[in-house]
Amino acid sequence: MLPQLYPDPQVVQQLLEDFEAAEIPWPHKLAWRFGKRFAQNSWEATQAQLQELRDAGIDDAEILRWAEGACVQTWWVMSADGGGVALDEFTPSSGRVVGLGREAYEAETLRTGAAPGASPSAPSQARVAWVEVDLQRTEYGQAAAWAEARYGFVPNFFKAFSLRPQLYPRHQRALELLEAPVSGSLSPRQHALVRALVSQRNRSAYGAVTSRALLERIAPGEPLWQRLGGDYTRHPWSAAERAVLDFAAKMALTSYKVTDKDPARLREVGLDDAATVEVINVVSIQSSIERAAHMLGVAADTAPLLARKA
Amino acid sequence: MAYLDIIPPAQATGELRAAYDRNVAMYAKGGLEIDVPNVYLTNYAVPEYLDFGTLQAACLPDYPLPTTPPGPVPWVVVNFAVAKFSACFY
Repeated sequence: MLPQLYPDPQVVQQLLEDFEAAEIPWPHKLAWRFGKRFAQNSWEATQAQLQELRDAGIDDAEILRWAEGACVQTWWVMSADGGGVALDEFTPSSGRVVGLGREAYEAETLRTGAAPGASPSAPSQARVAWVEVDLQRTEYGQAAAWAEARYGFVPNFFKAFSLRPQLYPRHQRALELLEAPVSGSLSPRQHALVRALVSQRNRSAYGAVTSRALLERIAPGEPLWQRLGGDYTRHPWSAAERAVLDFAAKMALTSYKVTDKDPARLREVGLDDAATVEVINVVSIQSSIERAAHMLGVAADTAPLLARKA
Repeated sequence: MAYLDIIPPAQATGELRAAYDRNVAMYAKGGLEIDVPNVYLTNYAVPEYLDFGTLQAACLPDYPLPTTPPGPVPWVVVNFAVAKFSACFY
């Protein structure tokens, strides 16, 4: 893919080694920054960065196009890493070099510093998101009606994507799948623990509203949210819970570190491949939403996204 | 070799086979005649997630091939950056 976009081999090499030094158009550089931030530290996204995109001629609908692609890419990346997927025979050669630079990734991940659980923004009624919204669109109306029926309100995440409604079916299905374990291999408690841990690791105020409410519904009176916000390994868990949490923690920000030993450990505590698939998908789907919410400045909802009949 | 078991499309039956078929049909509709990409296969144990992967790919207007006017920056640039800075080999 890269040689098609950037015919000069030197530019390709620069991009792979240090894209900030690469001689590419300014909007392209901003796109690289957007993707990098989405993958590594979305919680550090700012409204000024989004305005910088507009100043470079990227309108809000285009920013949403970037966000929707990054959402889907997050699922692809985590599904591939979590399952140890081999390259396809038809994978373009550029796909073979994406894994370079893992040491740099690790260093930059560590550099981000902030403790897990820090919430960059509080729920707010004052704004929906940094991007513009148009709530008169037909597609938005359909998605809003679905959300009203299911949750009793329309999530700000839906409103934020009103200028780019193509992914509404995806977002709706994502929220449905996140509500409860799908296969029955992962218990509701294990599922809620994973969701809460992911929100904490992603430092997501948006996701925390729902994942915390779900955890407190599943385990009322237990201070599990607080335990997951710090070093969860210091607290007692069942063997299965600890294995699930360790796998989810690795998946959340460092899915490239997953090895065949991780699914094997889940099997050792009595969980099957379906449970592993559940964890991979909960982490990847929820992360895609939480990271997009960060990048677009989506204000947290005032109520959790839990189906009224759940 | 994947960390999870895989049931190849040729050996799949029932619900899983139907999910594979929907994936192939999605790519074919988008102009790409390929078998189920590997990234979907490890979801075999929970076909609902395999279908989710197919659904979200189908929602992307310019995937697998472009159908709308390109923006100032090809959207795949962002996708590539997400993959690179996730250090994902796939």
